Amino acid sequence: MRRPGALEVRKPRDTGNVVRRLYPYFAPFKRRLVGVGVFLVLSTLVDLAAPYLIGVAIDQFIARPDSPMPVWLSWLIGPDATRAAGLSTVMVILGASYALAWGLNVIQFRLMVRVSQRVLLTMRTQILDQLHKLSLDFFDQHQAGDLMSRLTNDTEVINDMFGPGLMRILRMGLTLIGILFAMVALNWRLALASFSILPLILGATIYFSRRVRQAFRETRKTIGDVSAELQENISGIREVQAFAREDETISEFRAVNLRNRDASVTAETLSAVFMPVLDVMSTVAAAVVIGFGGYLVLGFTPPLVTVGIIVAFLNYVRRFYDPIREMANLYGQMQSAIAGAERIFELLDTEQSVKDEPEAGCFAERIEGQIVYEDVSFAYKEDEPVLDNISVVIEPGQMIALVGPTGAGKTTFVNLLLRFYDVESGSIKIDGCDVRSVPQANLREVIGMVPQDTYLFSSTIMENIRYGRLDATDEEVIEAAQVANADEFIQRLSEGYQTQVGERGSNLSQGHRQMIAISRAILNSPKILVLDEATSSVDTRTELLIQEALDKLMADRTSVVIAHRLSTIRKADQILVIQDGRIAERGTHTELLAQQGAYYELYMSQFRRQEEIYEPMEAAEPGS
Amino acid sequence: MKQLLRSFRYLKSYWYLAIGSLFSILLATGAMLLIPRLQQLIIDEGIVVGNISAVVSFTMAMIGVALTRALFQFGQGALAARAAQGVAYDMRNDVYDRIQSLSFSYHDQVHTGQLLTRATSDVERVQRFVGRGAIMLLSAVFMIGGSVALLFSINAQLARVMLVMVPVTLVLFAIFARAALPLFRAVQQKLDDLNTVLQENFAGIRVIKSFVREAHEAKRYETVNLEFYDLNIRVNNILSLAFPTIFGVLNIATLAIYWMGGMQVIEGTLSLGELVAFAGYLLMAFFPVLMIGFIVTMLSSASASAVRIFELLDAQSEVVEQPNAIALPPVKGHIAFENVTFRYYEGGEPVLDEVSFGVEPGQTLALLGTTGSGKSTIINLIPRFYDVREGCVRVDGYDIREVTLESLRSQIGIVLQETNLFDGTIRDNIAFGHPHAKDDEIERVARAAEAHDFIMRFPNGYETHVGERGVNLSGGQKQRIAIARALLLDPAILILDDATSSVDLSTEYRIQRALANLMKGRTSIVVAQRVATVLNADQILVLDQGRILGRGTHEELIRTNELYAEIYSSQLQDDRHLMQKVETAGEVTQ
Repeated sequence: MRRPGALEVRKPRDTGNVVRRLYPYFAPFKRRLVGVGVFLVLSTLVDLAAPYLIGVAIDQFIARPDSPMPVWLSWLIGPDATRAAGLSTVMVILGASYALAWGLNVIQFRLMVRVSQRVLLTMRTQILDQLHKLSLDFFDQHQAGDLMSRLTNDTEVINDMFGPGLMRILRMGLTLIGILFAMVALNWRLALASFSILPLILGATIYFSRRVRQAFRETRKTIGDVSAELQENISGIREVQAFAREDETISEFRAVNLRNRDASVTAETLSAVFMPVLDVMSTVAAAVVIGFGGYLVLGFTPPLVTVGIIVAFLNYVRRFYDPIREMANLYGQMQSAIAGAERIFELLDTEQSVKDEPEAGCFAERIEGQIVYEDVSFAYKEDEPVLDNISVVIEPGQMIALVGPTGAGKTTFVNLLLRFYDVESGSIKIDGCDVRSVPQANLREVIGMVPQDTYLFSSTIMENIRYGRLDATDEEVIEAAQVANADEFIQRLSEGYQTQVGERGSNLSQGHRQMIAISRAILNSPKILVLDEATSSVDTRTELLIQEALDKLMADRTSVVIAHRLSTIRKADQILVIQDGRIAERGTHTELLAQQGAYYELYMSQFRRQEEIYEPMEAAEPGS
Repeated sequence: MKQLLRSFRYLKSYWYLAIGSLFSILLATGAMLLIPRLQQLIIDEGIVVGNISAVVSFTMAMIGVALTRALFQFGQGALAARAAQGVAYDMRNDVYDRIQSLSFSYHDQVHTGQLLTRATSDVERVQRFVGRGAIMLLSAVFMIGGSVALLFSINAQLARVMLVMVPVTLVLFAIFARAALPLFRAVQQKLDDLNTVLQENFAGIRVIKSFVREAHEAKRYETVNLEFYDLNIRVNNILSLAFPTIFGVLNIATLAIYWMGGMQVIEGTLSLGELVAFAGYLLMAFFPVLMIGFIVTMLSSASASAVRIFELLDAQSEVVEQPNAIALPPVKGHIAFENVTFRYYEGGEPVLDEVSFGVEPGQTLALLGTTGSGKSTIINLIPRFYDVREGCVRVDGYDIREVTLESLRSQIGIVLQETNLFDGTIRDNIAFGHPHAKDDEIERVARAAEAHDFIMRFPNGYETHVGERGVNLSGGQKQRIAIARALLLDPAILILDDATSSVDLSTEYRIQRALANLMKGRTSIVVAQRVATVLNADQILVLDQGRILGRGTHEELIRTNELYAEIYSSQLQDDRHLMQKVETAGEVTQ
């Protein structure tokens, strides 16, 4: 029972493949990346020079100078400089190296961020383009909310990773290697002793970070359940209160909340073990350096190591467990970033099922509007045909009405006309031209649709209507609204056409939303009009007003109307009764009634009910 | 800030954990402060003077101290986790309880997303600060104080380096934070914008495709996308300066210590061990300074979160049960509105204006009127989803404000305009008001609501899972389940708010027929947009802009009420035509 909101934390399936796929994104920035690499190596070297320089300062000048001076130093200051002058020289060099490191760090960070942000910019653009290319079957299979939260989460994780994350990983890796080399170069005996603790640190890090990651994965899952529970009960608050179910939902929430608390406590306790364990190990490492170093100094003549080198080692040891810990932290982050990238590539790789033909032609400037369905069959899922051998001819200017029970295939019928899906067999032709032979964009420009479920963008009413024709002036928008009889209610809103409509236009009633959608279609003024139960949610009076508007709109256009009110259908030139994906009956209203078949029955069930209305009215209006 | 302090009250039930955590962290810090000192002793007393046993014993001491420290550090972490998560748990429960108790007027104004954020990320932020941040702040101050004191005890002259480093680091941190934080917020805001566009492209894909607006949307997205890119670059430009610079302060301080300290060692006023220890304390003082910086930034976001949380917790439900509320005895079904005037907002236009009417037990009242005429408001006032300010609503003569909410609402069956199903099986959803209902009862109400047949067509029947918001059911199917859900309560009062708007014609007809039977013996209030639905009503109220324009039976209204006649004829115009056609058809078949 997975719910949206409970984000799953996934591991990548094929890391190699993801890396291969990422390569082309970075390829255009090759030279810059090489620059970053050079700066990175340089700055790591400079960073590592500091402990060495401090060690030299101690050995040569601060402590009694009991070890031979490095060649570069004696060349620089001469063999008989005073201790104070020598110390100052080394300190100036140290200061210069710090300044250099600062500059290198700033530059490489900026270069890297620029590259990674460019890559993300490209990726985000590709995602949207892909969404536009995908056909509707994709959107049927994926829930918008679910996919959305995954996408935003994934791009964010990748963003974090490509930004500073990647730099840190590279830097940490280089630092670690550099430290190991420096230690061996300075004193291999002490280096080996210090390394003795390294496997322990590595082992503990790997063991704990895995456990901690698992534990936190569990907390993310439980917090996901908490949000899902919240989400559901907040959006269902009206039902909860109406059915007086507060106590039950509260105790359900307590249970989910408790699970989250316990999972969090477990995870945090585990990570509370991790840090101290690492700290102990690093202190032990320092102790080993000092202890064994002390032994190397005192146990041998001449001493096998100098105090300065011991101090340098203390600095190095402290630095080498930081990268390990850091990399352990970043490892989890990297994993989810790769899994995220994998999912994004999956989306980008999804084949669109409806494609434009490479040499698709275009409709003539003026189309007549004849629509022909020839033996059209279609199924969303294999072996479950939704439309079965449908053949219809709709002459230019005709109005055709589709009736039938829910799920009979009416909406599918119009979806195929707009080529939201491709027919499985047979063909649909407009003016004798197969809809598959023209670009989708051209086809849809010709057809205007008012869908069953009105979608409004979060913008003003004005902009929402203008969506029908982007270059329409305000006057033209208002005119369209007037034709749709929407102007009146819009004017009554406090901000009129400038009223913001929220997500899904939630502050307007369903009926008002439909009226805006109709205004949009009117502004669009298409050659062919498709109405999918466009007036189902408006009250009778308003419906009448809209119907008038639609009648005007349909007058000289070919139109396909799905309606569940017979009064609308009566005007149709042709009625198709669709049942189980087949055309059960066709003809005009009168013809179909005469057949006394399915339509007659549907009609009579409506009629019988209205007869009850009719008779009292007759009684009430003796004059008529 | 006041609200953030208020959040500390949640720590009260976990005071022993908090105190324990505080002690542990102080002890751990103390142990940590010993380590550079021990390093100094190893060098000065051991290595420099050639005393191997001193080297060994101090090294052992160092490991011992490290272990002790680890133990307390762990204790601190484990205790703090329990305290912090306890706070989060209690806070979330309070938030949830409050959400459940707030009336519709609150929920009308607040989006689900806002409440969700408060219960999740806001609680998270406050929890982290209250349960952890505050203690860490104390320990950081202790750590800085301790190392500065120790530094002064070793060498006052060198210790001055610290006195410069600490404030400089803090100031730099503040400068960068001030520059970066607004940008961080801007980035977040831009990301939201970006996601909104993406979200709209998901949800509105049909519109976009049918109007061929892909290019338009791509351009809109590109604009936001580029702005987002620019902001990210700007933030990172600041960050790229911030970290090297702040760590640069540490480097300069280290340099100063070795340079000045080195000179002192050469002059013989400082020992080598002391110099090394000094460098160690420098590091110990530096990181807590950074930590203070982070906690202070955390503080501002935590206190913003605390404000949001308490705003919700302090919200007063408009509908409150009176302390001496009595349980409403089993209802006969008499409903009365007495001079009810109602506004959704203080000072807003009245949605209902001096409305009075009465419904006798067992009667059916139909509400008719255009969108926005006040039909739904009347319906919402009966189960007391909102409180009336002027006038009163009575059920069986009881003012509904004087009875308990539970006893009132459990006797009213309601089908709302927008059907919301819960995650679970169809059976669970029908049994929503009566979780322990028997299977045959559930089937009975499902049959009555014309839902049984389609339910049985699913492979799992009543055990079919409906996703969040009942996604895999059609609108009509959801409505029928909602009707069954209301019927299961066997309520004396049944309220149907345009309950059959999204079912197809023949189903609507069958539901109507079923409902007609079910309404017998119950007081029913029906909102409908179809005249046909209201014909059987005992009483019809015609509403317009919050006022009752007409009341009576159909026969009375058709003669006396213009609006009713208009609505009625607009619906029937076609039907009269139909009638004639059928008659002709009848003749043809004869």
